[in-house]
Amino acid sequence: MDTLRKIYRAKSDFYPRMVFDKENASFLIEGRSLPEDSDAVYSPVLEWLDDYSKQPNDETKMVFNLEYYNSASLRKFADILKKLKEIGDVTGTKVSAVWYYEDGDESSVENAEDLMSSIGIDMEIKVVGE
Amino acid sequence: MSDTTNSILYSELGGDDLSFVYLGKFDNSVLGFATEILKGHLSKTVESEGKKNKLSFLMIESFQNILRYGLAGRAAEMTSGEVFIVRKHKGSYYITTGNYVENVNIGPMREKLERVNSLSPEDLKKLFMMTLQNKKISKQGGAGLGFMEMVRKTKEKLDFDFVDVDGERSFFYFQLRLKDNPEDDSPALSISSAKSIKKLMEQNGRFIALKGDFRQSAINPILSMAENNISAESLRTQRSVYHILVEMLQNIARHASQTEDGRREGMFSMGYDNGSFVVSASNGICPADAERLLEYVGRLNAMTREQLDDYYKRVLREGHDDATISSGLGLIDVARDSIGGIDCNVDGDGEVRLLSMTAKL
Repeated sequence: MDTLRKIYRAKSDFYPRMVFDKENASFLIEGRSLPEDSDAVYSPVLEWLDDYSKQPNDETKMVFNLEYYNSASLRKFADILKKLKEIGDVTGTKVSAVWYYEDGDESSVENAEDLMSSIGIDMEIKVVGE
Repeated sequence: MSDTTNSILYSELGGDDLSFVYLGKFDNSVLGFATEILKGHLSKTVESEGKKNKLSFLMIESFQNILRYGLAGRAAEMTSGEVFIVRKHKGSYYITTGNYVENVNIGPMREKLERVNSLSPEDLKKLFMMTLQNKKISKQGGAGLGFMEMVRKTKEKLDFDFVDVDGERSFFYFQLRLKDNPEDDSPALSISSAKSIKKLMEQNGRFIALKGDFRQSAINPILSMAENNISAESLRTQRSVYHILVEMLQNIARHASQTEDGRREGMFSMGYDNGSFVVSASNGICPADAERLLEYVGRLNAMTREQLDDYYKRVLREGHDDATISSGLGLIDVARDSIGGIDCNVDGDGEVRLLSMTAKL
Protein backbone atom coordinates (compact mmCIF):
# COMPACT_ATOMS: atom_id res chain seq x y z
CA MET A 1 0.00 0.00 0.00
CA ASP A 2 3.00 2.30 0.14
CA THR A 3 2.49 2.79 -3.53
CA LEU A 4 -1.00 4.29 -3.13
CA ARG A 5 -0.89 7.41 -5.24
CA LYS A 6 -2.09 10.72 -3.89
CA ILE A 7 -4.87 12.84 -5.26
CA TYR A 8 -4.10 16.53 -5.44
CA ARG A 9 -6.50 18.60 -7.43
CA ALA A 10 -6.24 22.39 -7.60
CA LYS A 11 -9.42 24.37 -7.25
CA SER A 12 -11.09 26.28 -10.06
CA ASP A 13 -14.34 28.17 -10.60
CA PHE A 14 -16.43 25.02 -10.81
CA TYR A 15 -14.31 22.38 -9.15
CA PRO A 16 -13.12 21.97 -5.60
CA ARG A 17 -9.61 21.60 -4.34
CA MET A 18 -9.16 18.00 -3.30
CA VAL A 19 -6.49 16.24 -1.33
CA PHE A 20 -6.49 12.50 -0.65
CA ASP A 21 -3.12 11.70 0.86
CA LYS A 22 -2.76 8.62 3.07
CA GLU A 23 0.82 9.33 4.09
CA ASN A 24 0.06 12.79 5.45
CA ALA A 25 -3.36 11.73 6.71
CA SER A 26 -5.00 14.49 4.71
CA PHE A 27 -8.50 14.03 3.26
CA LEU A 28 -10.03 17.24 2.04
CA ILE A 29 -12.60 18.73 -0.34
CA GLU A 30 -12.83 22.51 -0.35
CA GLY A 31 -13.99 25.47 -2.42
CA ARG A 32 -16.75 25.20 -5.00
CA SER A 33 -18.13 21.97 -6.30
CA LEU A 34 -20.45 22.70 -9.20
CA PRO A 35 -19.65 20.11 -11.83
CA GLU A 36 -22.30 19.24 -14.35
CA ASP A 37 -20.81 15.78 -14.58
CA SER A 38 -20.16 14.86 -10.98
CA ASP A 39 -19.03 11.34 -11.94
CA ALA A 40 -16.04 12.70 -13.79
CA VAL A 41 -14.92 14.61 -10.72
CA TYR A 42 -15.68 12.13 -7.98
CA SER A 43 -15.19 8.68 -9.55
CA PRO A 44 -11.40 8.92 -9.12
CA VAL A 45 -11.94 9.71 -5.43
CA LEU A 46 -14.26 6.76 -4.93
CA GLU A 47 -11.79 4.48 -6.71
CA TRP A 48 -9.00 5.86 -4.57
CA LEU A 49 -11.02 5.06 -1.45
CA ASP A 50 -11.49 1.50 -2.68
CA ASP A 51 -7.71 1.12 -2.76
CA TYR A 52 -7.30 2.93 0.52
CA SER A 53 -9.83 0.63 2.19
CA LYS A 54 -7.41 -2.29 1.78
CA GLN A 55 -5.02 -0.75 4.28
CA PRO A 56 -6.41 2.40 5.86
CA ASN A 57 -4.74 4.57 8.48
CA ASP A 58 -5.70 4.01 12.11
CA GLU A 59 -7.60 7.22 11.90
CA THR A 60 -9.28 8.86 8.89
CA LYS A 61 -10.75 12.33 9.18
CA MET A 62 -12.54 13.61 6.07
CA VAL A 63 -12.79 17.42 5.86
CA PHE A 64 -15.44 19.25 3.81
CA ASN A 65 -15.00 23.00 3.55
CA LEU A 66 -17.26 24.14 0.75
CA GLU A 67 -18.36 27.52 -0.40
CA TYR A 68 -20.94 26.30 -2.92
CA TYR A 69 -21.95 22.87 -4.13
CA ASN A 70 -24.71 21.52 -6.33
CA SER A 71 -27.05 18.66 -5.58
CA ALA A 72 -25.10 16.28 -7.81
CA SER A 73 -22.05 16.92 -5.62
CA LEU A 74 -24.04 16.43 -2.44
CA ARG A 75 -24.91 12.97 -3.65
CA LYS A 76 -21.22 12.26 -4.20
CA PHE A 77 -20.38 13.49 -0.70
CA ALA A 78 -22.89 10.93 0.54
CA ASP A 79 -21.15 8.23 -1.51
CA ILE A 80 -17.75 9.20 -0.10
CA LEU A 81 -19.03 9.16 3.47
CA LYS A 82 -20.76 5.83 2.89
CA LYS A 83 -17.48 4.35 1.70
CA LEU A 84 -15.61 5.78 4.70
CA LYS A 85 -18.21 4.42 7.09
CA GLU A 86 -17.79 1.03 5.48
CA ILE A 87 -14.01 1.24 5.90
CA GLY A 88 -14.47 1.96 9.59
CA ASP A 89 -17.01 -0.83 10.04
CA VAL A 90 -14.95 -3.43 8.21
CA THR A 91 -11.44 -2.61 9.49
CA GLY A 92 -12.29 -1.27 12.94
CA THR A 93 -10.25 1.89 12.30
CA LYS A 94 -11.50 5.28 13.47
CA VAL A 95 -13.39 7.18 10.81
CA SER A 96 -14.96 10.63 11.13
CA ALA A 97 -15.73 13.80 9.22
CA VAL A 98 -15.68 17.56 9.73
CA TRP A 99 -18.08 19.82 7.86
CA TYR A 100 -17.31 23.54 7.78
CA TYR A 101 -20.02 26.07 6.99
CA GLU A 102 -20.08 29.84 6.74
CA ASP A 103 -21.71 31.51 9.69
CA GLY A 104 -25.42 31.95 8.93
CA ASP A 105 -25.58 29.30 6.22
CA GLU A 106 -28.35 27.17 7.72
CA SER A 107 -28.97 25.08 4.63
CA SER A 108 -25.35 23.93 4.70
CA VAL A 109 -25.84 22.84 8.32
CA GLU A 110 -29.06 21.11 7.34
CA ASN A 111 -27.28 19.20 4.55
CA ALA A 112 -24.51 18.19 6.95
CA GLU A 113 -27.02 16.90 9.49
CA ASP A 114 -28.85 14.98 6.78
CA LEU A 115 -25.60 13.41 5.61
CA MET A 116 -24.63 12.51 9.14
CA SER A 117 -27.91 10.86 10.02
CA SER A 118 -28.54 9.14 6.69
CA ILE A 119 -25.02 7.68 6.52
CA GLY A 120 -24.61 7.24 10.27
CA ILE A 121 -21.09 8.65 10.36
CA ASP A 122 -19.52 10.65 13.18
CA MET A 123 -19.36 14.26 11.92
CA GLU A 124 -18.38 17.54 13.52
CA ILE A 125 -20.21 20.57 12.10
CA LYS A 126 -18.18 23.76 12.58
CA VAL A 127 -18.24 27.39 11.54
CA VAL A 128 -15.38 28.31 9.19
CA GLY A 129 -12.56 29.98 11.13
CA GLU A 130 -13.49 28.53 14.50
CA MET B 1 -37.52 55.68 -35.49
CA SER B 2 -36.75 55.63 -31.82
CA ASP B 3 -35.64 52.40 -30.17
CA THR B 4 -38.06 51.75 -27.32
CA THR B 5 -36.85 48.28 -26.30
CA ASN B 6 -35.36 49.49 -23.04
CA SER B 7 -38.35 51.54 -21.95
CA ILE B 8 -40.78 48.67 -22.66
CA LEU B 9 -38.51 46.23 -20.83
CA TYR B 10 -38.15 48.71 -18.00
CA SER B 11 -41.89 48.86 -17.47
CA GLU B 12 -42.19 45.04 -17.68
CA LEU B 13 -39.54 44.82 -14.96
CA GLY B 14 -41.16 47.66 -13.00
CA GLY B 15 -41.05 47.13 -9.26
CA ASP B 16 -37.84 45.10 -9.52
CA ASP B 17 -34.85 46.11 -7.42
CA LEU B 18 -32.76 43.86 -9.57
CA SER B 19 -33.35 42.05 -12.84
CA PHE B 20 -30.98 39.98 -14.89
CA VAL B 21 -32.16 38.44 -18.15
CA TYR B 22 -30.12 36.26 -20.44
CA LEU B 23 -31.50 34.88 -23.66
CA GLY B 24 -29.43 32.57 -25.79
CA LYS B 25 -27.47 29.41 -25.64
CA PHE B 26 -26.59 27.97 -22.29
CA ASP B 27 -23.25 26.67 -21.21
CA ASN B 28 -21.17 26.93 -18.07
CA SER B 29 -19.47 30.14 -19.18
CA VAL B 30 -22.87 31.85 -19.08
CA LEU B 31 -23.37 30.59 -15.55
CA GLY B 32 -19.93 31.95 -14.68
CA PHE B 33 -20.61 35.48 -15.81
CA ALA B 34 -24.21 35.50 -14.60
CA THR B 35 -23.07 34.69 -11.07
CA GLU B 36 -20.30 37.31 -11.26
CA ILE B 37 -22.69 40.03 -12.43
CA LEU B 38 -25.26 39.11 -9.81
CA LYS B 39 -22.65 38.95 -7.09
CA GLY B 40 -21.80 42.59 -7.77
CA HIS B 41 -25.43 43.46 -7.19
CA LEU B 42 -26.27 41.01 -4.44
CA SER B 43 -23.40 41.98 -2.18
CA LYS B 44 -25.20 45.26 -1.53
CA THR B 45 -28.68 43.93 -1.06
CA VAL B 46 -28.42 40.47 0.41
CA GLU B 47 -27.47 40.62 4.03
CA SER B 48 -26.54 37.13 5.19
CA GLU B 49 -24.03 34.65 3.81
CA GLY B 50 -26.71 32.03 4.21
CA LYS B 51 -29.09 33.72 1.83
CA LYS B 52 -26.33 34.47 -0.65
CA ASN B 53 -25.31 30.82 -0.71
CA LYS B 54 -28.91 29.72 -0.99
CA LEU B 55 -29.43 32.01 -3.97
CA SER B 56 -26.26 30.81 -5.63
CA PHE B 57 -27.30 27.23 -5.07
CA LEU B 58 -30.74 27.83 -6.57
CA MET B 59 -29.27 29.63 -9.56
CA ILE B 60 -26.76 26.90 -10.22
CA GLU B 61 -29.30 24.11 -9.84
CA SER B 62 -31.86 25.73 -12.14
CA PHE B 63 -29.16 26.48 -14.63
CA GLN B 64 -27.80 22.96 -14.63
CA ASN B 65 -31.34 21.67 -14.93
CA ILE B 66 -31.48 23.29 -18.34
CA LEU B 67 -28.28 21.55 -19.34
CA ARG B 68 -29.58 18.28 -17.93
CA TYR B 69 -33.09 18.29 -19.35
CA GLY B 70 -32.43 20.23 -22.52
CA LEU B 71 -32.75 18.54 -25.85
CA ALA B 72 -30.31 15.78 -26.65
CA GLY B 73 -27.69 17.01 -29.06
CA ARG B 74 -28.78 20.57 -28.37
CA ALA B 75 -28.47 21.86 -31.91
CA ALA B 76 -27.86 25.60 -31.99
CA GLU B 77 -31.16 26.51 -33.61
CA MET B 78 -33.04 24.68 -30.87
CA THR B 79 -31.25 26.25 -27.94
CA SER B 80 -30.83 29.83 -29.08
CA GLY B 81 -33.99 31.06 -27.41
CA GLU B 82 -33.37 29.65 -23.94
CA VAL B 83 -33.84 32.06 -21.12
CA PHE B 84 -32.44 32.61 -17.61
CA ILE B 85 -33.94 35.33 -15.42
CA VAL B 86 -33.13 36.42 -11.88
CA ARG B 87 -35.27 39.13 -10.29
CA LYS B 88 -35.64 40.74 -6.91
CA HIS B 89 -39.27 41.78 -6.93
CA LYS B 90 -41.23 43.13 -3.96
CA GLY B 91 -39.23 41.35 -1.31
CA SER B 92 -38.75 38.03 -3.11
CA TYR B 93 -36.08 36.64 -5.37
CA TYR B 94 -37.29 34.84 -8.48
CA ILE B 95 -35.19 32.56 -10.59
CA THR B 96 -36.79 31.56 -13.87
CA THR B 97 -35.48 29.34 -16.61
CA GLY B 98 -36.98 28.49 -19.96
CA ASN B 99 -35.74 25.81 -22.30
CA TYR B 100 -36.87 23.39 -24.98
CA VAL B 101 -37.79 19.83 -24.04
CA GLU B 102 -39.02 16.95 -26.14
CA ASN B 103 -42.71 16.29 -25.64
CA VAL B 104 -42.07 12.60 -24.92
CA ASN B 105 -40.16 13.65 -21.78
CA ILE B 106 -42.87 15.91 -20.41
CA GLY B 107 -44.79 13.10 -18.69
CA PRO B 108 -41.96 11.90 -16.42
CA MET B 109 -40.82 15.48 -15.71
CA ARG B 110 -44.29 16.62 -14.73
CA GLU B 111 -44.66 13.55 -12.54
CA LYS B 112 -41.41 14.27 -10.74
CA LEU B 113 -42.26 17.96 -10.23
CA GLU B 114 -45.75 17.22 -9.02
CA ARG B 115 -44.52 14.56 -6.64
CA VAL B 116 -42.03 16.94 -5.06
CA ASN B 117 -44.71 19.65 -4.85
CA SER B 118 -47.23 17.35 -3.20
CA LEU B 119 -45.06 16.15 -0.31
CA SER B 120 -45.20 17.54 3.22
CA PRO B 121 -41.87 18.90 4.57
CA GLU B 122 -41.51 15.72 6.67
CA ASP B 123 -42.14 13.37 3.75
CA LEU B 124 -39.84 15.42 1.56
CA LYS B 125 -37.08 15.08 4.14
CA LYS B 126 -37.67 11.35 4.28
CA LEU B 127 -37.50 11.02 0.51
CA PHE B 128 -34.40 13.22 0.44
CA MET B 129 -32.58 11.05 2.96
CA MET B 130 -33.60 7.90 1.15
CA THR B 131 -32.30 9.34 -2.11
CA LEU B 132 -28.99 10.21 -0.44
CA GLN B 133 -28.58 6.62 0.71
CA ASN B 134 -29.83 5.02 -2.46
CA LYS B 135 -27.12 3.97 -4.86
CA LYS B 136 -29.42 3.99 -7.86
CA ILE B 137 -29.18 7.26 -9.73
CA SER B 138 -32.03 8.49 -11.88
CA LYS B 139 -31.47 8.54 -15.60
CA GLN B 140 -30.89 12.29 -15.79
CA GLY B 141 -28.25 12.19 -13.05
CA GLY B 142 -29.72 13.21 -9.78
CA ALA B 143 -32.33 15.68 -10.92
CA GLY B 144 -34.77 14.39 -8.35
CA LEU B 145 -32.43 15.43 -5.58
CA GLY B 146 -32.07 18.84 -7.22
CA PHE B 147 -35.83 19.47 -7.26
CA MET B 148 -36.10 18.29 -3.66
CA GLU B 149 -33.34 20.63 -2.54
CA MET B 150 -35.01 23.53 -4.34
CA VAL B 151 -38.25 23.00 -2.44
CA ARG B 152 -36.43 22.47 0.85
CA LYS B 153 -34.38 25.63 0.40
CA THR B 154 -37.18 27.91 -0.81
CA LYS B 155 -39.96 26.34 1.28
CA GLU B 156 -42.14 27.05 -1.74
CA LYS B 157 -43.69 24.89 -4.42
CA LEU B 158 -42.00 24.70 -7.80
CA ASP B 159 -43.79 26.73 -10.44
CA PHE B 160 -43.65 25.47 -14.01
CA ASP B 161 -45.38 25.43 -17.37
CA PHE B 162 -44.97 23.63 -20.68
CA VAL B 163 -45.82 25.53 -23.86
CA ASP B 164 -46.09 23.40 -26.97
CA VAL B 165 -43.92 24.62 -29.86
CA ASP B 166 -44.45 22.28 -32.79
CA GLY B 167 -46.10 19.10 -31.57
CA GLU B 168 -42.72 17.48 -30.89
CA ARG B 169 -41.07 20.03 -28.66
CA SER B 170 -42.28 22.30 -25.90
CA PHE B 171 -40.84 25.26 -24.10
CA PHE B 172 -40.48 24.49 -20.40
CA TYR B 173 -40.71 27.41 -17.99
CA PHE B 174 -39.55 26.80 -14.45
CA GLN B 175 -39.67 29.35 -11.63
CA LEU B 176 -38.41 29.45 -8.05
CA ARG B 177 -39.27 32.01 -5.42
CA LEU B 178 -37.14 32.76 -2.38
CA LYS B 179 -38.80 35.11 0.07
CA ASP B 180 -36.81 37.67 2.00
CA ASN B 181 -39.32 37.34 4.78
CA PRO B 182 -40.84 33.85 5.22
CA GLU B 183 -44.02 35.45 6.64
CA ASP B 184 -44.63 37.35 3.41
CA ASP B 185 -47.88 35.99 1.95
CA SER B 186 -48.17 38.23 -1.10
CA PRO B 187 -48.99 36.43 -4.34
CA ALA B 188 -46.07 35.21 -6.42
CA LEU B 189 -44.96 36.81 -9.63
CA SER B 190 -46.63 34.96 -12.50
CA ILE B 191 -44.60 32.88 -14.92
CA SER B 192 -46.36 34.81 -17.68
CA SER B 193 -44.10 37.76 -16.91
CA ALA B 194 -41.11 35.65 -17.92
CA LYS B 195 -42.93 34.77 -21.13
CA SER B 196 -43.43 38.45 -21.99
CA ILE B 197 -39.81 39.26 -21.20
CA LYS B 198 -38.56 36.46 -23.41
CA LYS B 199 -40.80 37.62 -26.25
CA LEU B 200 -39.66 41.23 -25.92
CA MET B 201 -36.00 40.31 -25.88
CA GLU B 202 -36.42 37.98 -28.85
CA GLN B 203 -38.35 40.48 -30.95
CA ASN B 204 -35.71 43.14 -30.37
CA GLY B 205 -32.64 40.95 -30.73
CA ARG B 206 -31.39 41.45 -27.18
CA PHE B 207 -29.50 38.74 -25.34
CA ILE B 208 -28.77 40.47 -22.07
CA ALA B 209 -30.72 42.91 -19.95
CA LEU B 210 -29.82 44.13 -16.50
CA LYS B 211 -31.80 46.47 -14.29
CA GLY B 212 -30.52 47.60 -10.93
CA ASP B 213 -27.74 49.57 -9.35
CA PHE B 214 -25.10 50.92 -11.70
CA ARG B 215 -22.40 52.22 -9.42
CA GLN B 216 -18.91 51.48 -10.73
CA SER B 217 -18.47 48.42 -8.52
CA ALA B 218 -21.62 46.91 -10.03
CA ILE B 219 -20.64 47.54 -13.64
CA ASN B 220 -17.14 46.06 -13.51
CA PRO B 221 -18.36 42.45 -13.80
CA ILE B 222 -20.51 43.41 -16.80
CA LEU B 223 -17.47 44.83 -18.50
CA SER B 224 -15.37 41.75 -17.89
CA MET B 225 -18.24 39.60 -19.16
CA ALA B 226 -18.38 41.72 -22.30
CA GLU B 227 -14.64 41.58 -22.77
CA ASN B 228 -14.72 37.81 -22.75
CA ASN B 229 -17.90 37.27 -24.70
CA ILE B 230 -18.15 39.80 -27.49
CA SER B 231 -16.90 38.17 -30.59
CA ALA B 232 -16.38 40.55 -33.44
CA GLU B 233 -14.76 40.07 -36.80
CA SER B 234 -11.96 42.46 -36.12
CA LEU B 235 -10.13 43.55 -33.01
CA ARG B 236 -11.01 47.12 -33.96
CA THR B 237 -14.75 46.41 -33.89
CA GLN B 238 -14.33 44.49 -30.66
CA ARG B 239 -12.55 47.46 -29.10
CA SER B 240 -15.22 49.88 -30.32
CA VAL B 241 -17.96 47.70 -28.89
CA TYR B 242 -16.19 47.49 -25.58
CA HIS B 243 -15.51 51.19 -25.58
CA ILE B 244 -19.15 52.07 -26.25
CA LEU B 245 -20.22 49.70 -23.50
CA VAL B 246 -17.95 51.36 -20.98
CA GLU B 247 -19.19 54.80 -21.91
CA MET B 248 -22.86 53.86 -21.90
CA LEU B 249 -22.64 52.07 -18.56
CA GLN B 250 -20.66 54.82 -16.91
CA ASN B 251 -23.13 57.27 -18.34
CA ILE B 252 -25.86 55.59 -16.30
CA ALA B 253 -23.69 55.74 -13.20
CA ARG B 254 -22.98 59.40 -13.82
CA HIS B 255 -26.43 60.69 -14.74
CA ALA B 256 -28.82 58.43 -12.89
CA SER B 257 -30.71 60.12 -10.09
CA GLN B 258 -29.42 58.72 -6.82
CA THR B 259 -31.76 56.99 -4.39
CA GLU B 260 -31.62 57.64 -0.65
CA ASP B 261 -29.36 54.64 -0.04
CA GLY B 262 -26.91 55.71 -2.72
CA ARG B 263 -28.12 53.43 -5.49
CA ARG B 264 -27.85 54.60 -9.08
CA GLU B 265 -30.88 53.05 -10.71
CA GLY B 266 -30.64 52.11 -14.33
CA MET B 267 -31.08 49.50 -16.99
CA PHE B 268 -28.87 48.18 -19.71
CA SER B 269 -29.47 45.79 -22.58
CA MET B 270 -27.30 44.44 -25.33
CA GLY B 271 -27.89 42.42 -28.48
CA TYR B 272 -27.68 42.06 -32.22
CA ASP B 273 -30.22 43.78 -34.39
CA ASN B 274 -30.15 43.32 -38.18
CA GLY B 275 -26.46 42.57 -38.20
CA SER B 276 -25.46 45.45 -35.93
CA PHE B 277 -24.37 45.26 -32.35
CA VAL B 278 -26.74 47.27 -30.20
CA VAL B 279 -26.46 48.65 -26.67
CA SER B 280 -29.19 50.50 -24.80
CA ALA B 281 -28.84 52.24 -21.47
CA SER B 282 -31.61 53.84 -19.41
CA ASN B 283 -31.70 55.72 -16.16
CA GLY B 284 -33.94 57.88 -14.05
CA ILE B 285 -33.31 61.56 -14.53
CA CYS B 286 -34.96 64.86 -13.49
CA PRO B 287 -36.96 66.65 -16.22
CA ALA B 288 -34.53 69.56 -16.55
CA ASP B 289 -31.50 67.31 -17.04
CA ALA B 290 -33.47 65.17 -19.47
CA GLU B 291 -34.21 68.26 -21.57
CA ARG B 292 -30.56 69.30 -21.55
CA LEU B 293 -29.32 65.85 -22.53
CA LEU B 294 -31.88 65.46 -25.32
CA GLU B 295 -30.86 68.81 -26.72
CA TYR B 296 -27.16 67.96 -26.39
CA VAL B 297 -27.51 64.54 -28.07
CA GLY B 298 -29.53 66.25 -30.84
CA ARG B 299 -26.63 68.61 -31.40
CA LEU B 300 -24.12 65.75 -31.51
CA ASN B 301 -26.30 63.77 -33.92
CA ALA B 302 -26.45 66.75 -36.29
CA MET B 303 -22.66 66.97 -36.57
CA THR B 304 -20.61 65.35 -39.31
CA ARG B 305 -17.78 62.99 -38.40
CA GLU B 306 -15.23 65.77 -38.91
CA GLN B 307 -17.20 68.17 -36.75
CA LEU B 308 -17.42 65.53 -34.02
CA ASP B 309 -13.67 64.95 -34.19
CA ASP B 310 -12.99 68.68 -33.90
CA TYR B 311 -15.49 69.08 -31.11
CA TYR B 312 -13.93 66.13 -29.28
CA LYS B 313 -10.49 67.71 -29.45
CA ARG B 314 -11.83 71.06 -28.32
CA VAL B 315 -13.59 69.58 -25.29
CA LEU B 316 -10.45 67.62 -24.49
CA ARG B 317 -8.40 70.82 -24.66
CA GLU B 318 -10.72 73.39 -23.15
CA GLY B 319 -13.24 71.43 -21.14
CA HIS B 320 -16.95 71.47 -21.74
CA ASP B 321 -18.92 74.60 -22.48
CA ASP B 322 -21.86 73.17 -20.56
CA ALA B 323 -20.80 72.36 -17.01
CA THR B 324 -23.92 70.27 -16.31
CA ILE B 325 -22.82 67.61 -18.77
CA SER B 326 -19.71 66.60 -16.82
CA SER B 327 -16.79 65.85 -19.10
CA GLY B 328 -19.07 65.06 -22.01
CA LEU B 329 -16.35 63.16 -23.84
CA GLY B 330 -18.12 59.84 -23.46
CA LEU B 331 -21.17 60.80 -25.45
CA ILE B 332 -19.12 62.42 -28.19
CA ASP B 333 -17.25 59.15 -28.46
CA VAL B 334 -20.44 57.13 -28.64
CA ALA B 335 -21.84 59.51 -31.26
CA ARG B 336 -18.67 59.10 -33.32
CA ASP B 337 -18.96 55.31 -33.36
CA SER B 338 -22.69 54.73 -33.45
CA ILE B 339 -24.41 54.15 -36.80
CA GLY B 340 -26.91 56.95 -37.38
CA GLY B 341 -25.93 58.73 -34.17
CA ILE B 342 -27.27 58.15 -30.68
CA ASP B 343 -30.90 57.17 -30.41
CA CYS B 344 -32.26 59.03 -27.40
CA ASN B 345 -35.72 59.22 -25.85
CA VAL B 346 -37.40 60.21 -22.61
CA ASP B 347 -40.42 58.47 -21.08
CA GLY B 348 -42.75 59.33 -18.24
CA ASP B 349 -44.01 62.63 -16.94
CA GLY B 350 -43.25 62.77 -13.22
CA GLU B 351 -40.34 64.24 -11.28
CA VAL B 352 -38.15 61.37 -12.41
CA ARG B 353 -38.21 60.55 -16.12
CA LEU B 354 -36.67 57.58 -17.85
CA LEU B 355 -33.92 58.52 -20.26
CA SER B 356 -32.90 55.82 -22.75
CA MET B 357 -30.01 55.93 -25.18
CA THR B 358 -29.24 53.35 -27.83
CA ALA B 359 -26.09 52.99 -29.88
CA LYS B 360 -25.54 50.71 -32.84
CA LEU B 361 -22.28 49.48 -34.27
